[in-house]
Amino acid sequence: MCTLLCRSGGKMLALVAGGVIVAAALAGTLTGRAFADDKPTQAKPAETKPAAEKPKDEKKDEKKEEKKAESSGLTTGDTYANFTLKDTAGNDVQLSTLVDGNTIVVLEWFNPDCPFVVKHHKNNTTFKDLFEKYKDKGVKFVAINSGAKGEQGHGLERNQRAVTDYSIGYPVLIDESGTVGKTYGAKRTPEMFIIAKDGTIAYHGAIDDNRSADTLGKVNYVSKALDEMLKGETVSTNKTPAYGCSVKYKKD
Amino acid sequence: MTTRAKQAAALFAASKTKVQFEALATQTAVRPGGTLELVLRFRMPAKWHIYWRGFNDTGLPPTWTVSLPKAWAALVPEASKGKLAGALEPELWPAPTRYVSSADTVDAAYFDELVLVHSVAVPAGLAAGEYALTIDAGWLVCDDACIPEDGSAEVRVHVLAAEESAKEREGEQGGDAGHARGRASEVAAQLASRSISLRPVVLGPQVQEAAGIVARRVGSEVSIEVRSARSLAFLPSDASLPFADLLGTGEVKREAVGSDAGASEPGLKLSLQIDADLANGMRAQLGIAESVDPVQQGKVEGVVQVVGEDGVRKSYWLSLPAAASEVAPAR
Repeated sequence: MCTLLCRSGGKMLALVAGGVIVAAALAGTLTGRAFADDKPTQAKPAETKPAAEKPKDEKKDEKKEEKKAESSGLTTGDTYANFTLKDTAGNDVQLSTLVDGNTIVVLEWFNPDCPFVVKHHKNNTTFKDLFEKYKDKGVKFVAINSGAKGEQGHGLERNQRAVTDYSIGYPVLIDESGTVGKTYGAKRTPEMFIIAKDGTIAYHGAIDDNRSADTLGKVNYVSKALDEMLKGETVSTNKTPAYGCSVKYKKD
Repeated sequence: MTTRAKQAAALFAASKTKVQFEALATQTAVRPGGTLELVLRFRMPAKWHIYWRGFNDTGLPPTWTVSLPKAWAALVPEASKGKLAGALEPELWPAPTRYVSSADTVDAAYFDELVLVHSVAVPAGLAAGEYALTIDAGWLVCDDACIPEDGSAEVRVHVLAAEESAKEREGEQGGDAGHARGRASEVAAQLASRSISLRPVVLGPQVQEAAGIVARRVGSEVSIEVRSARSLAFLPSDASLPFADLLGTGEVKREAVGSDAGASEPGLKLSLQIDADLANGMRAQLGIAESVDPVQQGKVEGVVQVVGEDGVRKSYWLSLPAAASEVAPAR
């Protein structure tokens, strides 16, 4: 099962957003976890706009690093990566404005036509229930569709319809280039990341413990983690194997 | 287009589902107290795949239930009823293929066809006669998109009277129905035999010696070495401890000949790392109690795939139960 942290190989972890490497590629024995010391502050969120320039010292071995970055990603213990994407209403959503020191943010990788997403958004009300339960407790939700043009579940119109049909009460962001998805290393729909108030990823993995396309699990890992976080406790199950469809990234 | 390709195209064009599902029995007649071998066949259109019970990034393996006629079900002990829910141990499935998608997900999948052999016990006290068993199956079939599908098939079988010999029964099969049943069972027997031959070979000491494979597990490190091969891959089962980065570390291939000096080394080695955080999150799934360290207590198992120098792919079943264990050729 893909475990994204390890994919950084302990040698380098390059975060690519908007086609630009925004975090240093690190040599030596640094693991992804070490990024906890490198939190983006509210004052200076990591910029992801394509206009940002790559620092000169990273241009060495650029090709190799980008290849590596494609297969790496973020997981529990890492610091979140900032991004700005448009939602289905055309509004810009910048993640760093949500991670404001007082808010927990839940990221959900989304494809309205993936049977596993349908399981939780249409055949059951898993996500609606989660949103309703936590929306007034300092928790914000964001769904991201990293499907490329022409792929299943892609397109503004399809996702606008999904927001209505599934009664989604939070923004669905369109990441057609797959840049944000690849930065996080999201590989499945649904795949969940919970970002704690301090910007570290507190949970990464599945929505629940039943990997089928029709039956709900006994434990909703996101709900369990949020309950623990809101009580100030350590998240007891902080990483699980996500299950679902593959994210329909643009084919190379 | 070849005749076979035309037949396949017609088969899939006429179908409501992507996957063609059918069930057959390898015998036309079974004795009370014996075993009925059911063959479940899933045929996929080109490029579409279904899944093994592997530690997969996406998808899910097919599931099925076998519904027995009332008189038969009444004689099945409560404790063994679970077997009818289609649980087949991962090592009893044909060896899957390692499949990496455009999203860099790593899955153990089947293309073209999957044939499973599911054995059903015939109760000793079952009265002679014709019985119909229904097999309901569900599966997720994926190409660029994934589609959940289901299908149902009926298998008819003649249960012999206790004293009736199989030979006498064979003598009765002169009619058209008997002949048709005979052909179906012959096809089923061929499919079953092929499916069984495609299962991974258990890596016992002798097999290891012959295959030149050494597998070791120390703490959270697992290494698998093969003396000589073009490629080597490990596909953990869904009951195995989870590994970090199967995309990057689950397969090694020999570089093209002449690319550098190291290419002349015939052996290959996989170095795999058990993911402790994931193992912790999967305690319930792996059946590991809260009080023990999952990395110490969990098992490592799965399919080792070797493509030899001759280009032939061979699959082996590896099981490393304890934290410090080794499966190596006898010296």
